[in-house]
Amino acid sequence: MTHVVTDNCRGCRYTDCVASCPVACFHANEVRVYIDPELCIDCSACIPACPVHAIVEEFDLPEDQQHWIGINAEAAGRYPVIRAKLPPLDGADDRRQALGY
Amino acid sequence: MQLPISIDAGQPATLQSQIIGQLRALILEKRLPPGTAVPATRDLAHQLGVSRNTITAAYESLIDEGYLRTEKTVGTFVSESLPDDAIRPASPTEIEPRSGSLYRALNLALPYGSRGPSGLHRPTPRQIDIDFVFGRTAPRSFPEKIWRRIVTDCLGGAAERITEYGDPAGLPGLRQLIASSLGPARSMVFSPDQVLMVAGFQQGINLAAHLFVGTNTGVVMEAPTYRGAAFLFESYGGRVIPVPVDRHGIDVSRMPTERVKLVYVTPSHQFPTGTTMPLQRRLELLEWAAQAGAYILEVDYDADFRYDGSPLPSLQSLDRNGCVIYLNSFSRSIGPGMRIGYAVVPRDLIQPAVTIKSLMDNGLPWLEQASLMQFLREGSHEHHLKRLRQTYSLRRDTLLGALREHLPEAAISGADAGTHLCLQFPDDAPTAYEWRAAAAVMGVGLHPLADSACWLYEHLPGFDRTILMGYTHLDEGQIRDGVARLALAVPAENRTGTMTFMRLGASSRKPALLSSARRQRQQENRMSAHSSATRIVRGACPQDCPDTCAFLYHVEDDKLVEVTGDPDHPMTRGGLCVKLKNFAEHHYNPDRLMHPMKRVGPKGSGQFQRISWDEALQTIKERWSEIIAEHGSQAIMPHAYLGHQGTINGLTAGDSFFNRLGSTVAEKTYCESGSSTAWIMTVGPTGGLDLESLAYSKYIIVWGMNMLNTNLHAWKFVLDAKARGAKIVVIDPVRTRTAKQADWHIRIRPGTDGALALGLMNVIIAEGLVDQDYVDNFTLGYEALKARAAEFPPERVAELTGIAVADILTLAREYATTQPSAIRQGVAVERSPGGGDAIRAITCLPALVGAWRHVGGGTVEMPIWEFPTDFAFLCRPDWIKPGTRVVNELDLGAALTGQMKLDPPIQSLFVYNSNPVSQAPDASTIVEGLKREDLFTVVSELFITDTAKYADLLLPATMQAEQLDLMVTWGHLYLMLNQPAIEAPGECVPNAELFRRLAKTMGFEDEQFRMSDEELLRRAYDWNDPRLKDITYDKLKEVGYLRLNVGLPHERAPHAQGNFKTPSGKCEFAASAAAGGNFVVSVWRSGYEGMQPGTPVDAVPNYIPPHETGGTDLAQRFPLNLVSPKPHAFLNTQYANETTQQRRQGEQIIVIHPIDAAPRQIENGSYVRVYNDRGGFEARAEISEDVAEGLMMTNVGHWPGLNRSGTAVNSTTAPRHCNLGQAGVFSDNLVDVQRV
Repeated sequence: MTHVVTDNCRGCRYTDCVASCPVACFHANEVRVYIDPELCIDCSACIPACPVHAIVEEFDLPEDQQHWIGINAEAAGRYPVIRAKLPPLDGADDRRQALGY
Repeated sequence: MQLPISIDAGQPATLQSQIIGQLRALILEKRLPPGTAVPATRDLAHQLGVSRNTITAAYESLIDEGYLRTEKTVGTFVSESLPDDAIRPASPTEIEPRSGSLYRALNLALPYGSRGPSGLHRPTPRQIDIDFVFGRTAPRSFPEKIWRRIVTDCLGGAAERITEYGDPAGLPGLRQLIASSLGPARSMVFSPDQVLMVAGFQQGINLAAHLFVGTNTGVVMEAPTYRGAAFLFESYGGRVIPVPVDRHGIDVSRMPTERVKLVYVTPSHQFPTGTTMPLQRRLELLEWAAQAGAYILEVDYDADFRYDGSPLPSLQSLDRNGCVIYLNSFSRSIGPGMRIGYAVVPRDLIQPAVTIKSLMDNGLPWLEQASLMQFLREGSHEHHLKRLRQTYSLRRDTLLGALREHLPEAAISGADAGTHLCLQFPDDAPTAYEWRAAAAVMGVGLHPLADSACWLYEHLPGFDRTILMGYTHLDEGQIRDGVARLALAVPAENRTGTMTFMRLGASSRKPALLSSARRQRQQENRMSAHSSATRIVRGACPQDCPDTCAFLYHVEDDKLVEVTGDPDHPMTRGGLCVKLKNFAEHHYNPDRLMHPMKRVGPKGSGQFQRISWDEALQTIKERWSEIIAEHGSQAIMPHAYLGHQGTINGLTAGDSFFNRLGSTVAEKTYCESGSSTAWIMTVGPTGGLDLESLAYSKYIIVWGMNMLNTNLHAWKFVLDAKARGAKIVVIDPVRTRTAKQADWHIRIRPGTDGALALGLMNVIIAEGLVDQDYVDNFTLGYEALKARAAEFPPERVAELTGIAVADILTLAREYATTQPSAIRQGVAVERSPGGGDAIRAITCLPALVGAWRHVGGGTVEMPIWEFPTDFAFLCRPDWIKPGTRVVNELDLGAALTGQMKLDPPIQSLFVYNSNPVSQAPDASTIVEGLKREDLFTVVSELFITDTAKYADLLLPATMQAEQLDLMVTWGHLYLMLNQPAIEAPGECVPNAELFRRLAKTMGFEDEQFRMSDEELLRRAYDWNDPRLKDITYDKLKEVGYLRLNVGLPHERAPHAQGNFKTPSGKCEFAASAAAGGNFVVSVWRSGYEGMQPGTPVDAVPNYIPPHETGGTDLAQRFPLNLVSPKPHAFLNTQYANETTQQRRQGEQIIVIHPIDAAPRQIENGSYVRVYNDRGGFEARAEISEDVAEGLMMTNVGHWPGLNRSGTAVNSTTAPRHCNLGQAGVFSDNLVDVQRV
């Protein structure tokens, strides 16, 4: 069981989730974050933290979003862990509005 | 060249053949590599004392063979291409590691590797392009052209100088210049013979250390201070005595009264805080030194750079008693790579100082000194300094401006002088480490105080929010850019808080809080789905978990819509856990018991019919009255544990009632009792190390706990420690998710922890790593413990535990020498026959190495003892008739079925807060007992569990949002009030009310049973206890929770001076309580002190091997050991009936190693049956190397009735007890497994 970061994160990368995570399981690159499924302990503190509702519990993923499980798992192996919040990317607020939040 | 050949005329072989043989060997062993010239024949002949012909003949022979080749008029060489059969790979002689300890051989007081780098070498990582690191000078400011000219000039006279030893005190001309020009520039008067040239400050400090510091010599140092100096003093055996600094430098009023020889101060620009010691304080210090007879080591860092005001006279210049040793260096003005500085010593120290200096190194290199002398003499240094001052001043102003603009909330100290300043962030801002991480992403290097070659930094309030910034090596553009990037890295809304000035020497501060802005946003996010008519009520978690989170109940129109974690609680920090995720919905689970029920089908069929409370209570009264009349009140037995963990609804909820009734006393030892007895015996009822203090540990051992599963909220403090360089070790038979996050996972055979602990003691004692001073003053029974530990050498322990000898040695050494070291013990250790003594042994370890001295050092198991609860009132043991029997709850099966001879037999069982059919060992026997028609069984429950199925009567209980209680916690030091948020549904009642009703039914008139919930709670704690100072029940109603007054996490060191809560006041290696035999702490047995087991207990802890897995015949039939830890998504059996949680947890799984699976044809996903003589269960197999060969793992907590086989793991576990406290032996369980 794990949580996955889906598409809404891309281009925003608010990283409020990172500040809420008790086990530091977030990995980041230049455009978004990912969750390490091996480390995630399903506490869901991150879900309400995300301003664009990008994080979903694994078994709540709809059929057409299942690929995010694999993407998060693979990306976590590639990108470094982040433990502190970063400034959102330029245009994050625009994207957030466009997504309807 | 000379060849390493020796010939022996006495040997039978000819000289020639000896030479040939040895030469060939040299060539083959590559000691004469291809292409090397061999000596001319005449030279080798001369060397060996043989005729030239012999050598010529030898060479010719080797040339023929192809090993040598000759080049006319040039010489003879080893062939580049050796003969084919000669190519032999070089075989360097294997060097056997010496047996015996490196640490025994080295004469260091403490090895330093694990404490982190002690010096100032700090290369910048590649991704950082602007590094605010301390200690560098600007490359562009280095006077390269001038220096090159000077060096070239000096080389002109090199021949005379380099070919002889110089004056060990340094070049006379240079010292002359220093006395005549640098001295007066600082108003200092001294003669050249008082000057010694040293290789930078470090060697100057070394010189002083060599002169003054021996074993146990007291050296006073400013706190905080420079790490390189502190460690240096300690490496001579010295004892660093920290004296905190205030705004004016070292606080002379806090000097120790004991005799010290040396005081280390940095008055011009304190390292690291940057404050300047004003004249008044300098005079005070000098006066103190004169009276105390101490020498002052004045380390004049950064004296050359003063930006505001004029430089103050040095201590050396003010000194009238010849007690100041002055150090200065050219590291700042020219560059630290030069390694030149100078010491000015008092006249009477000249002789010893020069002697030591010459013994150290016979003097510094000549060329550097000569160049420096020239640099000084021609006035270039003066000129260079002037320019530097201007440059640095400009850079300082740029930095201050940039900081004011971008980070206005940060307090700055040390900006008026020197080459670095300190930046401190407010209490509720991110920590220095978080800043560092954020800055690194932006390519900026930031260095937290604790990681900047500092020591004793914990003496600075707010040190974990302090950054040491070196800036003079950066140009203005870089400085501006760097600070701007920092501001981007952590945006303003995450940096809030009031402006705090560095309160040097200030008193304790509040625990860190989230900024109000952050908190607000979190609340908004959570509540975004709900209307604004939400009422928030404060509560706390009811579960048996050390975290005891602070709840916020969200109520809308009298319906509980959500339960969230309080963001302001330092443990909870706004998040709960996977188990509590759907807690609000749980309250509305349609399967909840709402009314009393009576059985209408056969026992265990689960067929019930609703009845009224009156009928239920009346039935109970009738049946019990009959039983009491016929058999006596002891025929009635309660069965309760921690289904709820509240003061009045939890463990002891029914104790006063059942004691009044005269029932059998049920001994509640499912979990923790063995650890309690062990702990009390060794250190007494102390809370021990606060889990929040783990953040200050440098070495953390998590022993037998899967913290990410069962102590999640404490993990943050482990991560904090790790960010500060701590090493995290996990000791666990299984590679759990916590083990995967550790720096080092040590796999141990279950049930052998006692052997490991004793083995660690063995190594610590043998290698002289004991803190003898602590042991002598604050422990009892060291000699006996030493004798016991001697029985456990690493080799024996390796055999017993399965841990490699090298690992045992390393663990012992690292644990002992990396202070503060901490052990977070898990309850799992007790779950084996030797578990009790294992915990005693582990609990002894910190006192052995002096870990308790430090904040963040020591051990913790269950800090519950700090809460001043009035158990005498809650349990009323005074109502127990003497001679009342005690039956252990883990023996339930035997007690119900008559296997245990009981007179009177148990005729009635009353279960609350417990689910024994699922959780107690030997479930098959329990079920057999519960099926008895003549057993009157009453169960108070939330749902019809596997136990409740066998009840004759069911009584409905409330859930947490529906009741009032003060929560008991065993993992932190906060008193937590849970207030009801919604009405109790149906006819559910809290346990406190249940027992009030039962008492009334049975005609008990005592006032105790007429008290309301709130009255009970007010009465249950000793509010006058100093630990509850300023804490009242009314205040708790307002704020929800308050921390006990037991010291804040960053300063709590309860046993720094002993003060253990044992009869002797010491840590009892040899426990005085052992004489009385085995006992269960009274809180686990309704307050009853009588009828204790009393089995013999060793005075000092011993290793007691597992019963089943310790190589018995049982292992032939059941070769696999099964451990059954807690699940991830259930809390014991709670939530296991919720479909969402079942999905998260998955079905019952058995984890099995590939080596055990293969011969049994078990594949990943196969369904298997796990069984032994006691029973069995079915599960889905998961093949993994997370378990070891011979070890399997499954979770306890799945409802048996929801499992494939209708049974769960407790059908296989044994109803035996560990050696202390009657705890269970769940981990000592042999089984076999086969496919179904």
